[in-house]
Amino acid sequence: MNYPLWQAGDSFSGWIYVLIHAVFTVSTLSVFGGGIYLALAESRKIYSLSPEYREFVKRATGAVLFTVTVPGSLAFVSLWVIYILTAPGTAAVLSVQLSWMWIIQALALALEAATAFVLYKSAGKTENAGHTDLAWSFAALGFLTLIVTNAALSFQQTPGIWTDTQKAADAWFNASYLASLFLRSLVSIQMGGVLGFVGLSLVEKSSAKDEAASWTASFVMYPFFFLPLGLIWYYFTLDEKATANIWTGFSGVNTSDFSILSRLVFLSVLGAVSIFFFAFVGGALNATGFKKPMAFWFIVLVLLTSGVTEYTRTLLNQPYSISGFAFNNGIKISDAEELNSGFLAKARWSVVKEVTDENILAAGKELHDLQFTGNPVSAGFVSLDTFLKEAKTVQDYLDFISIIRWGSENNIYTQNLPPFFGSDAEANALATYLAWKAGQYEATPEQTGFFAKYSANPASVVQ
Amino acid sequence: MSEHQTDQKTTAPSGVLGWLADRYQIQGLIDYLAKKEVPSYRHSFWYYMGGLSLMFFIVQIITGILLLFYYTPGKEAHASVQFIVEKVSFGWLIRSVHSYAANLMIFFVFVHMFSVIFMKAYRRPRELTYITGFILLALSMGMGFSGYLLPWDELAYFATKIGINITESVPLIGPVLGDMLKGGPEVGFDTISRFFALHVWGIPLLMTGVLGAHLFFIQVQGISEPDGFKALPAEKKKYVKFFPTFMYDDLLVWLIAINGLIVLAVFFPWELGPEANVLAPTPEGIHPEWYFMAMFQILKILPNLGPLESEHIGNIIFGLTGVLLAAIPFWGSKNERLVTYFTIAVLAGLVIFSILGYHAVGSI
Repeated sequence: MNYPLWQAGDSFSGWIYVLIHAVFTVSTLSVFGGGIYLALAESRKIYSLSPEYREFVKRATGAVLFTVTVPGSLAFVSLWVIYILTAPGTAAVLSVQLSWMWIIQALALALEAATAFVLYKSAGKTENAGHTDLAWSFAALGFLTLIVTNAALSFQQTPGIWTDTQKAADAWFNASYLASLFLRSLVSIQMGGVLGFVGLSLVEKSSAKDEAASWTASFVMYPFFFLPLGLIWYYFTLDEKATANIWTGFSGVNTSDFSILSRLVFLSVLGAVSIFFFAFVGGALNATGFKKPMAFWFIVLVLLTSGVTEYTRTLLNQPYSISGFAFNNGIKISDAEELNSGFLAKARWSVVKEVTDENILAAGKELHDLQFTGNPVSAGFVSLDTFLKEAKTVQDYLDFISIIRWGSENNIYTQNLPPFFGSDAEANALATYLAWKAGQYEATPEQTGFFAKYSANPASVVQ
Repeated sequence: MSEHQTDQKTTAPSGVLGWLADRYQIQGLIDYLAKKEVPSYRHSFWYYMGGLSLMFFIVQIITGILLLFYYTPGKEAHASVQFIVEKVSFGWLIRSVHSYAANLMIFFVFVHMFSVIFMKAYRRPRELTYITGFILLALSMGMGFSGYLLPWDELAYFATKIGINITESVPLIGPVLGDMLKGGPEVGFDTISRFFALHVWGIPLLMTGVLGAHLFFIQVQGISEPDGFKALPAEKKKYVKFFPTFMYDDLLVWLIAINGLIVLAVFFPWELGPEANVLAPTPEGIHPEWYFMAMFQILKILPNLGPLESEHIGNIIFGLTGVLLAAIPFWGSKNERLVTYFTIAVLAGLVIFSILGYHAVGSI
């Protein structure tokens, strides 16, 4: 259920998670698109005619190699470190239930990195006939990775009938699989163009650069026209509850009826349009001016758009189960009834087993850490804080916790939040802790004393 | 005339420009723009600051017009802003973008001004370019100050009161100015109407005129070259064409800035506090916007000196600093080192007293 690891908690905010996820996504998507881009760039007539063009292709290959190896592997490792630190339960479920997918992905990443290295070492030469074939192989490897990654991500989005049948094929070819594969393929091709732009920024002004810029811009611009089609297709494959959250989800303060999801969707679309214009102005119209600072800002724009899109996707996730585990907190559904009569007593690593007046704050913190830090996204729908801005008393917190307890999954809160497991006394302990943390509950000296002791050394208060 | 322009002849334009050139006498303008060049070197990025300020000004004009569709000055001010952020489609976004753009415009005008001083771009013959730029900074701050009150929420009301109190303490003209701004004995609904008129008509009209003159001077005289660049041998000097290269680069910078602006508005929507209650005591921690924070803090710590009250001393310091900054092209050309020291002192003062100010009100 949980592990004796320290709670990373706020150290890994949702933003860091999203940033790393964005880097990882960009890196993963770069392989397929980058491979196609390099193979086609080498197949062009100008390749054999212009040494400047070959120099550009070499630089673009370097950009692909760098993206796949350095940020790719760093982000891959970082994601797992974050999962394990912030949500050991979730990490356990993901690694056990989806292990084969992650293993394939890790192996593919290693293979891709090796291929990219060979591609770079032999890039920019005319006598190497097999080089273009190697670039195509690189693209094929990238597509395989895309197939696997897309299966894992789309499965998280729409597990569908797999929850009943438990068949691998149902998990793989889930409802949103093909639509998201189409979308990711388009973005991947765009990424090939983006890395081409990085290569362009590294070469001096020449007629070959102008020509290559215009051609590279088309890599980013043409797929853009098919994105709306992919988005509409994808939208209609999602669970109705998830899409309803975009239009009717909770809105923040001063944002009329725009939920955080609808605002993110808006940003994501704006980002895609901006990338299009960046490619058009920077590449098609003004290749001469496309230098390193522009490439840097282009990458920032791409990361921003990618991060926002990933964030959107994560928030679209509905609480669901994998092999009987509630995804957000790694709790077995079959344990639900038992846990509702007393969660802490069953939690293997909890130092507090029974709520008393003295340990109520420590008990509340244990419950909070064990159940509500299960999803690395700290803001948005899966964060309690979003909903508790108006809470003023312990009773306000308790009222809220009461409506997100297991079994009330049709109400608007449990569509978006991990459910709460525990007894009435534990619900009260969590409410008291949250109110105290927000400065709305005045704890007794005994309670704060116990909490201080618990914070300094949890083992000292083991019951 | 620009310090560096190519002599090459331009060809007749095609497309829309060609269509226009056939009907109007714009060939000279086209030739001029085609010849115009911008120095390209390590610190060229400072040249984008003016363009960014202009872009935020344009954003403010557009979003300001959209806000005008629903905003009502006077008693309905707060309710109308609440309606905008809660009921109007994208109203919250327009308002947030408007508010952030105002702050960013002031920030970039500051950056632009300091970069111009440090790069000594105020030298002859660009005195008027510098002075119109300085007037634009003052007008931008006036624009921010007048717009701040319009939502009529608690923070805006009390912060404006502080601002007007400072204005009133200016010797001789202060009380008259204060009365003119307030439109009555106290800050009230009449004040909103006056600020509204200033914010929507008075200052923007002035800004448009001064901005037009500023841009005209830049186009006529070209972009200045700093000493380090001028000293380079001719073969090492690099230039890019203003049209299209620099203009497209500027456009890309704008695109990035607009994305940043909207990200701010989406993730941190500009807040609207509770409606101002003129009878309520001033809440703790009330302070003006960041660009007035240093002045606010200096006034708080200044002592009275004999017959002079601290506010009078403050006003003398701010007035003198402003005059000295505005007059740099006239006193600075022969004292360039002194200008640099003076500007560093002003900049350091702004930063340090702003930090102290935020620290004092508990924001940091």
